[in-house]
Amino acid sequence: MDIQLKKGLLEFCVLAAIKKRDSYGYQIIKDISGCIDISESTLYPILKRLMAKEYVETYSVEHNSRLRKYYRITPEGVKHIDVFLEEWSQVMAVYDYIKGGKKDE
Amino acid sequence: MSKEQFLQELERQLKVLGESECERYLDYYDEMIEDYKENGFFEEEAILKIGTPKEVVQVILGEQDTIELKVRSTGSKVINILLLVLGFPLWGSLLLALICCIASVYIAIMSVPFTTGVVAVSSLLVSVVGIVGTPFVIANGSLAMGITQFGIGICCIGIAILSAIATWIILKVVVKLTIRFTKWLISLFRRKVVRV
Repeated sequence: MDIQLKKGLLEFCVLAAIKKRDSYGYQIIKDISGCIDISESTLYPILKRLMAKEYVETYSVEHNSRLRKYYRITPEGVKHIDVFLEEWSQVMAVYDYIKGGKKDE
Repeated sequence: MSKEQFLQELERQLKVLGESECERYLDYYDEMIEDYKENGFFEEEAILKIGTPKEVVQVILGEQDTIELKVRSTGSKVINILLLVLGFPLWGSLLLALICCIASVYIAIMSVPFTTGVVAVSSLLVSVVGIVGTPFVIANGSLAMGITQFGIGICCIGIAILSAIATWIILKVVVKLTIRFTKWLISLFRRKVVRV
């Protein structure tokens, strides 16, 4: 997949995974790796961006005598997903156009 | 490679991002490795999956919007301060010498208009005293001496005017020179900014 396109999509995949339930690094990767390829090193910068935009917030939970960082979606984060889904119809229009153009050849 | 080694290597290479940012990355990878282990992976396997520290650092630094460069002469702040204190006898006297040098340059430059200024004022004084004193000298009976004194007085007015004009011109040049010298001095201490 195109790197830029994937980068954009990954952000929403991560956000969607956190929307389903509060999650932590390892769990997020496990959840979305079925749908899109993601590595540990690419996840953190995405989480950082989402935190910076205040789409997610964090809290720590003690687990097996260590701290685990959980991520929770904020109302802004939910809205961000909704906007993305609404805009996707425009993307589909572009997709149809591209596909149709190919058919005409 | 063990987790300790992995995290140590990561810490060494991520220090450039600042302490708190580096700490966050270490926490993240620490947690990730622990979660792998909890899900049945060996530590080495988990680290193999995550990648070598070098690969991880490349991804992290590639994602940075801005890279902050922190260049230090020595490793720690404490050592820096200690060296500063211990080295005072050396750099303190050197600094004093430098300040004296700079002051002497200013004084040397200013001494030129000061000299001409003094000449102007003193010749003015001489001419006033000479001219005003002339009638008294003549009244004392010495006509030749009185006329000579009057002539010298007139001469001194001329010298005073000329040196006053010279002072004015030199002063203008000196002020310009001083400003340029001061600007150059400031530019020596201005921080050099490196843009990446």
